[in-house]
Amino acid sequence: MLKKEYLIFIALLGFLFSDFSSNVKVGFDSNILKYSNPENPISSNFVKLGMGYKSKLNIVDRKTQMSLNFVKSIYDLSEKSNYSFGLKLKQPLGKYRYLMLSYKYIDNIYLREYVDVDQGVLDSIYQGTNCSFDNSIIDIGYELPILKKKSKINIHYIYQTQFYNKYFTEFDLELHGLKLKYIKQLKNNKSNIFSFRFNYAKNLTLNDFTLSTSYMDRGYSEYLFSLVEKDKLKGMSVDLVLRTYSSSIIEDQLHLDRRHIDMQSSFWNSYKFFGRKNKLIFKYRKRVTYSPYSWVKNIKSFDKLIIEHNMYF
Amino acid sequence: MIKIFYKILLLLILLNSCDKQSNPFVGDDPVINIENMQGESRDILIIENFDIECSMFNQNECQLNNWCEYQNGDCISVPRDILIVANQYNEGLIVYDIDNDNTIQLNEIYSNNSFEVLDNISLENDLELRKLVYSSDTQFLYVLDKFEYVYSVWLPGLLDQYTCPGNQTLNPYQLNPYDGVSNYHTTQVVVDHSNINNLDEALLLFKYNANNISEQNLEGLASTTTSCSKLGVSYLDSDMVNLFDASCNSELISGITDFDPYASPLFDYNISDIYFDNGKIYIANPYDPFIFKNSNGEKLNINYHLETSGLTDGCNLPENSISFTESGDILYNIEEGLGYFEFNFHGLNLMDLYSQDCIPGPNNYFVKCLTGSENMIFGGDVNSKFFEIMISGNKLIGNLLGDFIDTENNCGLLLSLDVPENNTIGLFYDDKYSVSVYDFYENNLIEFDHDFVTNSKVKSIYVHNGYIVTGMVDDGCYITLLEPSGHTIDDIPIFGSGNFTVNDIFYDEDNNLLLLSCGSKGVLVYSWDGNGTNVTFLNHIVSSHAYSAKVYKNSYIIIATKYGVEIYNYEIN
Repeated sequence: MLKKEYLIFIALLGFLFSDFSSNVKVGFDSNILKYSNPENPISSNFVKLGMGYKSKLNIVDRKTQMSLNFVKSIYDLSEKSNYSFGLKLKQPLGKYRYLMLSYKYIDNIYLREYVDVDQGVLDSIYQGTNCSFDNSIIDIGYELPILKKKSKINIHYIYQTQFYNKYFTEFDLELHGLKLKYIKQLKNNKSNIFSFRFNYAKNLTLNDFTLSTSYMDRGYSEYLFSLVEKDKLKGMSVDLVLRTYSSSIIEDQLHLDRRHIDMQSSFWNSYKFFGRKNKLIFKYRKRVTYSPYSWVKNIKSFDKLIIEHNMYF
Repeated sequence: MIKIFYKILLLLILLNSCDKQSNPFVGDDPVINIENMQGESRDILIIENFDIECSMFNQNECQLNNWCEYQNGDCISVPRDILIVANQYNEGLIVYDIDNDNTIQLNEIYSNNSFEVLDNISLENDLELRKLVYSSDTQFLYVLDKFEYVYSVWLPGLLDQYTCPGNQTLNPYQLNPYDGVSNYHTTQVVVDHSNINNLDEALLLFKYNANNISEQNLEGLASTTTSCSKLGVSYLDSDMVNLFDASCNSELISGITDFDPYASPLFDYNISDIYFDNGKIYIANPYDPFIFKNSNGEKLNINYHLETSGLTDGCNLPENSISFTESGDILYNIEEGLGYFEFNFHGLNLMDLYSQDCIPGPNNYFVKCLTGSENMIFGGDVNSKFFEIMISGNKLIGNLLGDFIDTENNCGLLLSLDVPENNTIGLFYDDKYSVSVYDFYENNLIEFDHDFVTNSKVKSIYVHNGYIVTGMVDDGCYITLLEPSGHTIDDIPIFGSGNFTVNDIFYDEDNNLLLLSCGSKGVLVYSWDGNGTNVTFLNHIVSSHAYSAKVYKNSYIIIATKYGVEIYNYEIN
């Protein structure tokens, strides 16, 4: 999939046109499929090729800022390779207030091979089917300054869908989220960002006519906290997710009374190389799952390390 | 120009990225009936044409009874097909009447989740029913409540309120309350119903967890300090009772039931299945790898050295390792003093080998062999101390009770077995698994017949017509000749079962169907004539997590799953 011409094309766009930006990320993920330790996690190298385009549109009195971006991700584990596309619009309203609208689509996020219990009776041996989903996110936000423009607050409503491939529609989710973000500008280009978000995920296909939907509710609610401290070159962040599954189906061992804590710590540092910005990022993520059933705890807990090097053109 | 091209490209991507739900995939033969339950259905039994005796009822009683029909002045039995489900946690024991008129329907006719006996062994009211055994001769049903008790009940009295005196149905009663050792737990049950006078003998596998309770009867456990298991036998003395007269009286039966807790030698903890057929008991994974402890009882991390060629002196072994040679020597090189060791062997009857030289223990399932005496029973450094080595079955235990073997270099020959020439004896170490076959005699004695080593851990066993079917953990299913020479490490699993874990094996002789219940991978269906190692793959039923499966009426396969009972349409050609 990685064609030299494609890479050169991305780099050239960034070099030749100021409205265009491009970047290449190379990295390593120690547990690409989020396997638990007993499942023997597998690692993968990856390359992410990003293209961006920024422009200002004359729609209303004040110019609307628009950005488009496209990212192609290529993994050693080819099933994991996919692309994403994003569109952002930011409309100044005056007095440092903005209205924001964004749409992001991530195609074919591969999870792993699962058994599809709706297969019925087959005349061949069935080992499982690849499970993946498409994620689309619509985000409507409003930004306003506080404390003499030194700080600002963002308020967002986020609507998401996660639609799985046809064998695993039992996992289809619709998510509604509210997000509050506080950004504090400090001296020397330093800033602190704190955000809080609540998501409610509804299992859209619960109790449809298939076997797989008859005894499991994949819905959940979750709280997400994020703290970022950064300056122009370096920074660190901590993300914490507390998720509680909402299933009340007694036979639903996989989700009943299940919750997890997912924490990710990130550190990064930027530097110049041949006049171009480069960034090195380390991420460590750990999920601890709680459930009355030990097998659920065991297979739904994992940790992983991600190392990324970004080159901007 | 490039800008325009780029904008068009992005527009195309945007248009293509519109997202919508997929239509769910439904297979060609969907499940036709789901009986979701509040907990895991671990085992099922199908009894076709089950009936009760109706001839004793008068017309009025007969017409009140669902199991009977009054015709031409006689009360005749109406046979019905029933499905019995052992459910873990909430729902307990459930019995369904199978209505097969048009399409299959399950009608619940009995359920009970409140028969658990609570005492110092069974502390929580948490029925975790795991296994069902039905004796068609006596019509008794045996129900295993995992890690606690086995319950039994006469099935006609359970299902019909008029069969026993008092116009009320029977409750399952606790079988053989044995409280000799407080930390024994029943984990398996098989029934020998070939006994004289149609009296069942229930063989119960008890597991003893050394980590759970400190009070223990070491005398009864041959000085082991590790988790272990053994078989006990529950039986009725045929001189004492006519079973059919007493079937309705559980207190009477319970009161006169004898229990022999010392029927078998000592096994290890990880037995995963036992199977009884025609006077023989088949035990999956009777033995775990060897164990060493220091004098404080702390487990030592000792490796097994595979290469024995030219190896005569244990001091040449890598540090903290042992090896077992063809001549029966256990060589060792362990840096710490040894306070406890436990070895398990395969390929012989070790207890038989030493029954003459050693002293019988208080029970007939182990012997005690003195070390350090003039008449050395074993060679090696074990004779540097005076202590008793226990042999039970193929297990050898040395417990120095706080003392330890501490020779000059802590290496050399630890223990030498008096093995016969051309011995095929092996020592169990990591990743070595086996099946042992024992003879069960009428006096409740269990004696070693033979064993064989398997390629992977055995999860389930079935025996038919001189062939043994072994279901493995992550290694599929094997069909081999039962005789000792019928097994080699070159055996290959039957087609398609390769990397599956086989929880349960069921063979339908009438239809030549072999069902393998493979957990989250569903159920594999094979055609097998029962007279060879060849099978033909027929179907893969992708059910929910499958624990056990049965064939019903040549038309259905009923599966006990993690989420209840699922019934699949299965026309057998």
